[in-house]
Amino acid sequence: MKVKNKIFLGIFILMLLGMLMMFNSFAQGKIGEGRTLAVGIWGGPQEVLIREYVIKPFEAETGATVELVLGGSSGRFARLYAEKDNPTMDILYLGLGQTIQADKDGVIMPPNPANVPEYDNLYPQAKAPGAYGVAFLAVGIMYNTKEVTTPPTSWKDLWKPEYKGKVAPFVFPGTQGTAFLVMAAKVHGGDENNIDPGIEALKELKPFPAILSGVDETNLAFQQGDVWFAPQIHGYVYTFKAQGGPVDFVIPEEGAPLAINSAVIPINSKNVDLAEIFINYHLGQKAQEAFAKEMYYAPTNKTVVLAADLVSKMPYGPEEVGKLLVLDNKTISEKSSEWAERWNREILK
Amino acid sequence: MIFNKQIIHKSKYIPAILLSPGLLILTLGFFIPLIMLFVISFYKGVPGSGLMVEEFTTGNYLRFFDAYYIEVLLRTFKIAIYTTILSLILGYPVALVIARSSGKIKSILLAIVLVPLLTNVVARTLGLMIILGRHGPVNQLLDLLGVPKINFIPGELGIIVGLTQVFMPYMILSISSVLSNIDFSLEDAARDLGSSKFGAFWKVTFPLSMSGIVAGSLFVFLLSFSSYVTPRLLGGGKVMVITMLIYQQAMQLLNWPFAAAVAVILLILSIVLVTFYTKATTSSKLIDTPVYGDFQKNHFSFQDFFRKINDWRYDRVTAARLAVDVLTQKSALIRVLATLGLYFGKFFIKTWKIFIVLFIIVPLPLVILSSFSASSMITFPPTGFSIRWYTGIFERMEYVRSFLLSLRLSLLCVLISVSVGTLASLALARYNFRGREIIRSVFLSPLMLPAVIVGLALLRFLASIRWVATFQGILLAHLILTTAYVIRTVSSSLVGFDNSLEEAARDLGASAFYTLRKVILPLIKPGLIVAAIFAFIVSFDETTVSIFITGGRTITLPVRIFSQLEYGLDPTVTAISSLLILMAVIALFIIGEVFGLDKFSIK
Repeated sequence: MKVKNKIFLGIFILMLLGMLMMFNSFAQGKIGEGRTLAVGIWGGPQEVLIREYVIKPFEAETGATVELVLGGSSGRFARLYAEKDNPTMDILYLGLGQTIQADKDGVIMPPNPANVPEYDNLYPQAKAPGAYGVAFLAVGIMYNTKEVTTPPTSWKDLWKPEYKGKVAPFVFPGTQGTAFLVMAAKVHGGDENNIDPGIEALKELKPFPAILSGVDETNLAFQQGDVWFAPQIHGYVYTFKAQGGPVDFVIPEEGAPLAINSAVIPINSKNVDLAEIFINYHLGQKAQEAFAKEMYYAPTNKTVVLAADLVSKMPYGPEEVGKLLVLDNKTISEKSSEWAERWNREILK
Repeated sequence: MIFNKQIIHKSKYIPAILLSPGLLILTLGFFIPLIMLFVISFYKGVPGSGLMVEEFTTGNYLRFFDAYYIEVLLRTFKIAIYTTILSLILGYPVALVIARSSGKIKSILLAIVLVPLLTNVVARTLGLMIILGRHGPVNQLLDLLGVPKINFIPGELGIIVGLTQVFMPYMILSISSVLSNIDFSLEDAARDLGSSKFGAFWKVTFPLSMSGIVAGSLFVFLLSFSSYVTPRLLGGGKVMVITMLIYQQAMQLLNWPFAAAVAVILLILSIVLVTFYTKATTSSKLIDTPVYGDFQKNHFSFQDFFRKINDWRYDRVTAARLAVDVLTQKSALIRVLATLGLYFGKFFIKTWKIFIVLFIIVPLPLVILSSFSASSMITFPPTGFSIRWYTGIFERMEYVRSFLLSLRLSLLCVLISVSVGTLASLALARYNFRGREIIRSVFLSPLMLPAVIVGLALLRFLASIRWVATFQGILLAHLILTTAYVIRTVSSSLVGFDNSLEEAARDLGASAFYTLRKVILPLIKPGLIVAAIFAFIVSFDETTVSIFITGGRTITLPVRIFSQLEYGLDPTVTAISSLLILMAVIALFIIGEVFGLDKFSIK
């Protein structure tokens, strides 16, 4: 009996050690081969496209492994600062305001056309934030075609009494949330330097059916009829519409703010060379075309050619891109922590 | 104290040697970080930049006394109080059923309570997100009954219901462990003496279980007060509680000093609560000891207080009953209605406990059910059947890599913390030295403090030695938690240990090491196995501390699931969570085989 126990214990410990070593070597064989490039990006369809059109050719070329860190951009943005001496990610995808702020604070590498040849083909708007703009987005109004018979034409329409309780804002700060707050201010007599009318206007929309923060959540809320209107990026609306969602997108007469997704490389990244190769793939025809086709993300690269039927669904070409409203993003990024405080205290409450 | 008769050794350096590895881990992973946190809380912060000016200021603490932050604190209190009350109301009947039942039924009930406890909190919260959703099963049921839908999530209501679901098992275990020691023949005696069934319960059983109620309530209050994952996910990031405030200030607004100051305030509140809790539980332990003089002395004020409340309550109840009696005499119609009401009441009494038990367990099967849905939107009931979310895991190698990382971490944690923790437990249980009780509570303190504080403190410390998001950094964090669990479990198995066997071995000429190997270890083997399983689960499931210190290439599995859920519901996550639930069931099965479920202790 005792011997049996001893053998049992011995086998147990050996198994434990064996498993430990096996996983160690297995994991190393997978991750440790060459180098790893850690990339922080949004989940959902973007992840799928990045895997297919950027990671595949990138891994084939470099032999490196890509580790995706999925999530919203605000978490990444904070990590960029918290880890600036020793970054855990090599590429971060950020929104427009975040990119401008990061560039101003000097926590990201300046663009390097020598290693990213496609950079020279970018529209000036895509270069303006100080990094590699990968997609142009228009923030307009998403509305519920099941519930709303006359499509809105103006941002002001959302304040009509018959829609009370059906307009959902997006969380602030964030691409949609920021655009909505500024546009609310603008159509109520304010602007980036005078945000009070916007805050007051958002308060008037209460009670909110929801405060949106994600794409899936938004789509579900529209599908189920809880929400009739929300500020949204054109691409997400058209994607959902193509899947059969009861929604459509309008660019209001006051204009739709231009938003830009950018890829940034943190200073002190140990894999800048790999990161630049990765970004160059993202800016190339194949990836840009795929993002346009699947998500209606407008190309930032002048040389990218799109099929004619796609062009109507996005700001494509210098003229269309030029029509989008460019907000005073510098002021926005300076004021955003103050606005966040007010958003928490006055609107969320 | 119970331990006194067991201590046979008096030595200064042997316990020091036995304790040193554990204390080293604790110093590195717990004390230095906490001291750093305290220091930082007096620095000046530069919001948005993550920079700090090393100048002494009390401004961070003063800033907290702003109406907005006080409201956050009060909201947190409110949520914790409601959660505690709700857990007590729902948990007590279940505890009573468990204590009164025996054999197979008891095992099944205990398993139902324990499986959620061993399941990853993110996976459980996912179940709650499905169940409480605006169009989830609960709201569909309400719709069917013609009741307007309730917006549970995102919101405070959802957080309260969710936290109750998550922490009620602790309440149940706490009460049922006390109730199991009660002689139910006392209740029979009361009934023989003419007391009603309700009266017998109210005057006899309920007061006797008071220590379990107090301990359970304080524990649930403490846990819900300091939890982060569940309020974050069920509040949708829109309901600000104190742990979220700390996270937001530290990780999003990068105002470290203010985050540290809020953490210190939370720390002080927790220490006060823990002190209450320890007082309550140590006095409840005394019930087991036959020294009635002590019992009376220690319990006098406490018991007296509750007795008075009970008397008062009881008078109210009898008055109400009398009123009902008078009313039912009034007319036959009322009498018929009353009978009907009684009939339905009886039916409800028979079934409502089943509903509570369902409430505890049902989010888990619901996650598993959803994981086989064919649709990419998580809806209820799930549409179609497919296993594509399981195969989908392997298309996203990140999940597999995170799984392997978590597995390696937990296995190493088991090896290190079981050896380190057993040595420390031996020193604590078998040697008499100054400061022994203090060292014991010091070892257990990481379990009692809010994980958000531990996470924030470790983040600052690891950042200063460049260990953030490294394997060794996360290992250190997990070790302080798992070692505490090991010490708790192994200590309790050393308490019931017969020292004469060891003495006999030593008398017969066995060396100390030989005695350890041949006598002590085999005797405490069940305790060691349970400790190892605990260490594994604690490390594998650890989420809140890890959220702070993982990143980039080293993200553990629960953190990856959490960040996905923070971003939105995703079916792949339901598949992974289902696997985690399966793991908990297996762990529970092993514990049940080795140890017996009814001996399972949470304290």
